[in-house]
Amino acid sequence: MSRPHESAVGHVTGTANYVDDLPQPADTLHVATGYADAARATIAALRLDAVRAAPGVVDVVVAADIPGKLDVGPVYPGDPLLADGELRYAAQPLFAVAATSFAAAQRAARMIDVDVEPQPAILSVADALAADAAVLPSRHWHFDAESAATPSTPPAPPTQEATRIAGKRYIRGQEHFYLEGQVALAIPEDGGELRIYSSTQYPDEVQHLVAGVLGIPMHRVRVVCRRMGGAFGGKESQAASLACIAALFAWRTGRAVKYRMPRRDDMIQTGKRHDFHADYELACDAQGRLVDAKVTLAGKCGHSPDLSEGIVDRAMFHFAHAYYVPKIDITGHRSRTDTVSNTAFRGFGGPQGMLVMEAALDELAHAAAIDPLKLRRTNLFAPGRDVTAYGQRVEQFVLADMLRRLERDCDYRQRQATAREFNARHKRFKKGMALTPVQFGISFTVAHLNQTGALVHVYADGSIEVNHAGTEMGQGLHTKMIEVAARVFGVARERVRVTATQTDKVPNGSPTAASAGSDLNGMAVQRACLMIRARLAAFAASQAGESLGAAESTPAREDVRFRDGDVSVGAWRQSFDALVDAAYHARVQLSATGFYATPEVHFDKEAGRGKPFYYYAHGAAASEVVIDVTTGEYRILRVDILHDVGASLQEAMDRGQIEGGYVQGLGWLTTEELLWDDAGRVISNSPANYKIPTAHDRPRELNIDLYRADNPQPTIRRSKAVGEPPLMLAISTWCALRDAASAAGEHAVLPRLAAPATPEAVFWAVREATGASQDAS
Amino acid sequence: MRQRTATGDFPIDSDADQNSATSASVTDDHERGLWINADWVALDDAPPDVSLLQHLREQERLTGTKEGCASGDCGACSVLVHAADGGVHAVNACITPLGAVLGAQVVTVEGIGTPEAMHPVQRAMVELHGSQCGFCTPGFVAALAAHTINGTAEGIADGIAGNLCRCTGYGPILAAGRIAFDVIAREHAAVARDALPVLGAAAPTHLAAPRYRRPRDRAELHAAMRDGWPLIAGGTDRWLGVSQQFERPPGWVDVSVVRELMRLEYERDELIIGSAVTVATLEAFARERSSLLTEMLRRYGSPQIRGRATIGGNVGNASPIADWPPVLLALGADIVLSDARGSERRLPLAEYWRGYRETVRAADEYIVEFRVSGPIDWAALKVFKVSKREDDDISTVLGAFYLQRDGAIVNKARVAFGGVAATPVRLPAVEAALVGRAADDAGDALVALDTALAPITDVRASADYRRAMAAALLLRALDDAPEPQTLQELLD
Repeated sequence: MSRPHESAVGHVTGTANYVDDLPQPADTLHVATGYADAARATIAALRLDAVRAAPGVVDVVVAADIPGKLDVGPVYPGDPLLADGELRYAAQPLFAVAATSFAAAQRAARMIDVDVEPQPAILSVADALAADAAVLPSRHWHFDAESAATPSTPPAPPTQEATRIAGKRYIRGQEHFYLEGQVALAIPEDGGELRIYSSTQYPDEVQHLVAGVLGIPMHRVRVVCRRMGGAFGGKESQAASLACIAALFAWRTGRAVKYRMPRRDDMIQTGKRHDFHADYELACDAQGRLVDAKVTLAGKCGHSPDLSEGIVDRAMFHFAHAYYVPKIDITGHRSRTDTVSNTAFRGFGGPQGMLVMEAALDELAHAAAIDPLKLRRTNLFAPGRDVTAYGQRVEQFVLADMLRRLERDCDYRQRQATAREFNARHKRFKKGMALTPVQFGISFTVAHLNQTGALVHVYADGSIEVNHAGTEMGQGLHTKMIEVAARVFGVARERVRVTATQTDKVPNGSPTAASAGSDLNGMAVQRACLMIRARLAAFAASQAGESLGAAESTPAREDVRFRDGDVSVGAWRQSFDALVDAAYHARVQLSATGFYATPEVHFDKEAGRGKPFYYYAHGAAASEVVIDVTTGEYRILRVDILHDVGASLQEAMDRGQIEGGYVQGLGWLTTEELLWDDAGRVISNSPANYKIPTAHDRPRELNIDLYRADNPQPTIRRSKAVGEPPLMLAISTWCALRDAASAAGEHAVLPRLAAPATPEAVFWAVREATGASQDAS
Repeated sequence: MRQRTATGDFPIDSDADQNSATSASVTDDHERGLWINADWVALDDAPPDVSLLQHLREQERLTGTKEGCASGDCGACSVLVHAADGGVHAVNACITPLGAVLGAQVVTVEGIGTPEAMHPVQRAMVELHGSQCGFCTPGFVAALAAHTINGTAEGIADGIAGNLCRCTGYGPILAAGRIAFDVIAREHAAVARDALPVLGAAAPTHLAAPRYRRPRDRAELHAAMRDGWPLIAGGTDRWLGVSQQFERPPGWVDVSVVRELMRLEYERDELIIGSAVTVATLEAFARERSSLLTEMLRRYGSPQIRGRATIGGNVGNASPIADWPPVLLALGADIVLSDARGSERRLPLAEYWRGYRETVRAADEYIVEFRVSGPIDWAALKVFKVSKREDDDISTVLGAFYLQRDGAIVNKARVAFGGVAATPVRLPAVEAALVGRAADDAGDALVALDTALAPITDVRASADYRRAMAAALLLRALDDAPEPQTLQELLD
């Protein structure tokens, strides 16, 4: 039973509003920021006379004009709202200008006159590692099954190392490219209050930071987010600075102020997925069982911590991925570079950690002459081999079954044989295949974020309004929340509305992130609904008792049923709307709040020990590709996906996340190449030169199936998180491209393949596989 | 509500207007404006820095159409234009000058259908979960509505190649497009235009504005050039100066409807391609002649771009990575330039470029046309494009080859590339090394090729890869084996 997205009709008719679409007050001002080109420099002189004098300009601000806190760092300080004496990255805002039109502000911002003294800049992870430059201290986690053994997990018998591989890998980042760019609209209200319409995943942090920048209490700032036009992590921390600058101008001028970033500014001034450098070793015994692993992961954090602590942690958590490794050393560096501060992006470091392992496993399989799928299967977590590198015990072992089913259902082995025949027949074209799993930990690894609230109203006419702290960015969270509420009250979904997320309705919410939106908010919404339902049930029971008269005893409230728009107990029945009307007149409270905090999770970051994840979500994908060895061009022929969403809350939304996540991961690992020049400027700065997938890039055949198994944890209706995990299904496609390149040299070599695997990267991999040198042509 | 048109009567009689277009200044007899959905919107002028998108969103408060990139790359701003030729096409409103649609009818997502009366595309998008965040959705609705009129149920991916979606992975949108075709066929007796409730029945005509001149013949053009205002054709590249750099010229001279520049015909033994011929028109022309050129054009920009971009603009912007120059070079085309008095000169196209973004065209000259002499052996033309992404991507390298052979021996060769030097290049030394030898004896040609190239490393590719691709594409062109030469051929 899959209803459309709650806003689907609004989307397709253009009547669903985004921040830039809202009717705005007549004298609304528009913001642009000015910046210099240097990556790291001191500002010797900043002359803004021409900017101030430009047509339409009403106000200009620099760092010194900020009445409260200059720093808008989300977790740790380090992110000045406007540059304060020094430049930390190319395109860092030096000042902001408010003018009477969008174009006037843009034109004025270009009239910047600045003298900078360039300083030596660190622009790459390699340079940062050499210079020991980091935004936060490094972490080192060590795990040894022997010393960690407990009575329930006896030490594994010692194994003999048979094959060892070592390598280095560089994984490029990714631009979010949400279709709606960053935007905020600040409107001054009565009594020095501000209402902020922000396209943000984290309204509460916008509220907190706006209050901080202005030096006012949070209760004077109200943040509203009805929907975002995509976010993917890019509006978790990055949305706040726009809201802060708009709020600052609104505060100063008393006028409404909109700050919408043009795409180019968005692509050079906001953070992206981290590049990662990895240095790794991996060994297995003669049976293909992993013996030990060692990895150093260095994330390109940019100039400030932002969310990089958790992102590098998550890369470390997911390095060993779905596999039991009895001895493991993981070092994580948070490398500081003089570039824009990188931030959350679907998977939050997990995809990079996972890709390092999956690529290494293919190398180990090649070196040990073991079938790669067999090697993966041999090493999956299993009872008795169930402790992760960070000490969490894995409790659900569905991947072995998922891999088996997927392999069977997509005729994997048969098609592999066909591909081998194809490769023997064709010189110009080679096919490649791979089947890889996904096991992704669910929860914020910062424990306090695992909380949320909800506020539910049943109005006197029986219509229901649901508010919760989660935000809608297209993922269908509100659609799922409507399912939850409608199910509790037994009413049609049309009777339930989810409102815009507003900080004055539900306070102190967490970001809608970490795939946790429906897990957290679903429970909070359900609890609030259950509270109201309990009151209605008690009222209904007493009504039923009265109507039955003194002859019968009053029915128990537990026996009251809410179903199909009716409320009934025994032979007594009333429509939900009539019962609500009666309850209202009988002065029953029809509003309630709900609160939820995820149980069990805890983690000691320094020791690298604990239970950071409430549970794991799983998936598996099999990819088949074909490449042109003469050019490196390729097509994705077929991808089969089996994904674990627990007991699905809403199948259409879940399938949408799986397909969309896979294709977004495919972009990350194929055509999306995030590049900087030698001066530290982003050169992939427009959709003309940064290529996210189009409809033709989708696999020619894409089959998606849900793996039906309840979540063993008591989550909302035993469902599982689905936002991030599917992105990593695309690793199978990257591995398949590498397999195809290897086939060009009859698999004598498993070539290095860059990530992303652009046609150029595949071409060089083919060259390596066929033994030709790069400069021969 | 403004003046409504139930019958679709447009205020201008197009035939009369076409015939009276001889005076030096643009005629000014009629009320200026455009149709937006079912409403006639009167306008005194089209400000030279206002795009159709800005006008829709800011003046008309039709905010269903979104700005995603302001560069014509994402398609979120797609709207339908019902133009003088009677066709209904999707365009990117963000890079369409408001002046360019004066007199035409623009249909936005709000006009395609409303929540109460949805278009079949909209219904299918709802039912098949074609929207997630919804921001790209109005653009997809417009592109699909256009595709149901102009495209095929099999080619839906081509119809939305200029629309980016970051949420869905495209599957549900492709499915919605297929369903919409079925529904339209069933409900509208296969006349997809009828599914657009606001579409007028009569073809509108071209109008101009004080600061947006749209001459209709060369005489008018020469008069319109009097103030030295910049020339613009489709604007798909030129308008980025406004939408990205916030340029504000005093006015524009739009050459896209100058009658003599729209010729696509044979004159005696010469093929004449006027500079204002759109890529979409050439795509239709190529379809009957060259499958490889057609395939390249399928990947050229997007339907929204191809409908407005002109061949003259593609050559005129002097980009080293434009896709038409190598094709024209391989065909051995000449270019004809004219000044504002109509004085013309004709030169081989290879002599047009002088350096990076530098040409021999003088400030007061414009491109009239391209001329290809002699019969064209279309089977001899081979065109291959390599880019990072298959669709709507600027070429890393584009190779165009005109190779005729006598048995195994090559007896005529023209070899041209884009993306391997500061300008598009034709390579006589490579041609000389090919002629008179067997096609599989290309050793000397490869050496000559490597010597002739001067590629750079940039955001699209490394210089080494470009070098390797030039060689690979030349070898592909020389390979006459019956086996598939490209992935497209392999998979078709």
